Amino acid sequence: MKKMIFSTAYLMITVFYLVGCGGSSDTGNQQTEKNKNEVPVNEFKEVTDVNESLHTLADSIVSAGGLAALGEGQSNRQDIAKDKAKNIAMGNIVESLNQKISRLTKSFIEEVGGGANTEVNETFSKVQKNIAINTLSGAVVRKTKLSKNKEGIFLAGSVVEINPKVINTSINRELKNSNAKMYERFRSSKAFDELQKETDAYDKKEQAKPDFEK
Amino acid sequence: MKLADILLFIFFIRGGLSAQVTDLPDWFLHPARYQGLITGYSNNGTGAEIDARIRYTTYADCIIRGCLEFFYANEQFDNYRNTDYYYYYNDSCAESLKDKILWRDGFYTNLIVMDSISAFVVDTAVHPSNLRLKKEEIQQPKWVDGPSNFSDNGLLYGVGEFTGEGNDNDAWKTAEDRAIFQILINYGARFGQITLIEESLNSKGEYIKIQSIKLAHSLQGARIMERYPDFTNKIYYVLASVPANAISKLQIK
Repeated sequence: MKKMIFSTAYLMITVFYLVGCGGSSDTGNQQTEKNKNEVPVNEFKEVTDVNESLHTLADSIVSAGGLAALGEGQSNRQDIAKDKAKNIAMGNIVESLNQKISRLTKSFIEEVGGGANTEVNETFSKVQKNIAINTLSGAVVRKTKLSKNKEGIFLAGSVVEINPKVINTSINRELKNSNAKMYERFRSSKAFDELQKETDAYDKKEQAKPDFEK
Repeated sequence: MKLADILLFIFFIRGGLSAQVTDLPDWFLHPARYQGLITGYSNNGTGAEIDARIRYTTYADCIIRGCLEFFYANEQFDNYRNTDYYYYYNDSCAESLKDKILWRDGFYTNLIVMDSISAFVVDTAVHPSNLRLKKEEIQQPKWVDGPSNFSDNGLLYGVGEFTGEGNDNDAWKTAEDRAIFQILINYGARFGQITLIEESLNSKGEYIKIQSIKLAHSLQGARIMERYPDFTNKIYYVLASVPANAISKLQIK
């Protein structure tokens, strides 16, 4: 008798849970119908980037081996918006240049070996410091685009470019002046070859361009 | 007559007089066509002749030294600009031009404060033409929408612009200065930038960006090539040039 009572209770509990887990089929259908009519909150829609063409221009310069950066500026005055965009682009290109020198240092250290690390780092950081003085040599504001919103606020975008030939020549010159011995080792390294290849590739692409794009 | 009526009358006259600048002389828009001609701007009672003498001397040979700083905070629309660079020119040379400089032509930009822009020549028989271009006849040059700095045929070019919302003479002078500044940037300047980002529970990550551009250059033979007034958007543009071999960097202090 006792066994029967336990079995019945166990069966009832199991049925109760099974019914609970199944949920209501009607409610599920209602929700699906509702979802069909509403746009989910987390669904992203494409937003138009007014400076998309400038992004493309900067990317094409970088992929061709050049150094380029985009800056954007807002103002209710047209000239201030453009000024801001140019300056921010220049700040960004300086950061890119610093990254380039860091990559070059790393690649050279890997090639030369661990022993010379301190000397290489010191030389390159000296070069970087000197380069910072000449950072903007040959910096050209390639293109500036201006947009205006309904409130009359101007949004300007500027692409600043530096020919890698100018940078690479500066790196070589500064390195030569800072540490002539190190410069000799650098000249026979893969890092130097890469630098040269980069310049040559950029030159070729520039030459292939029609005159109006140069 | 009440004070308000007087002010209204002044504003009425001022509006009427400003509207009179409906044409501009060719020597002003295309100064490169007139070799040896120098433009002078009057300023707060200082005659255009003094400005022309200083400009003539400065553009012939000068040293530009100093720093330009910008402060940006978040997406605040207007930044702070601290111009702290100066043109060093030969003062005695400018003074010695007193007896040599000759007035050729001029026009008023504001009759209330008697602001004017004039053309001068030094020791030459140059006479600018009387050609005047009406507002609607002035075509937008290609360089207005082009790069801010570029080089061509051994010359470095810079494009400067400034709003024409306020004083016309100030706007043109600032645009000239900015055009030369663009040339200097292209030639080489020390650029520094610091970005401070502050993130806290109560803020979305506010930032302050400080930029500085340090200059130290010597330049000779600077010239204003063209000017363009965009009357629709009230922006004045100036194209300046410097021979590439007449500019050099000096040690930055």
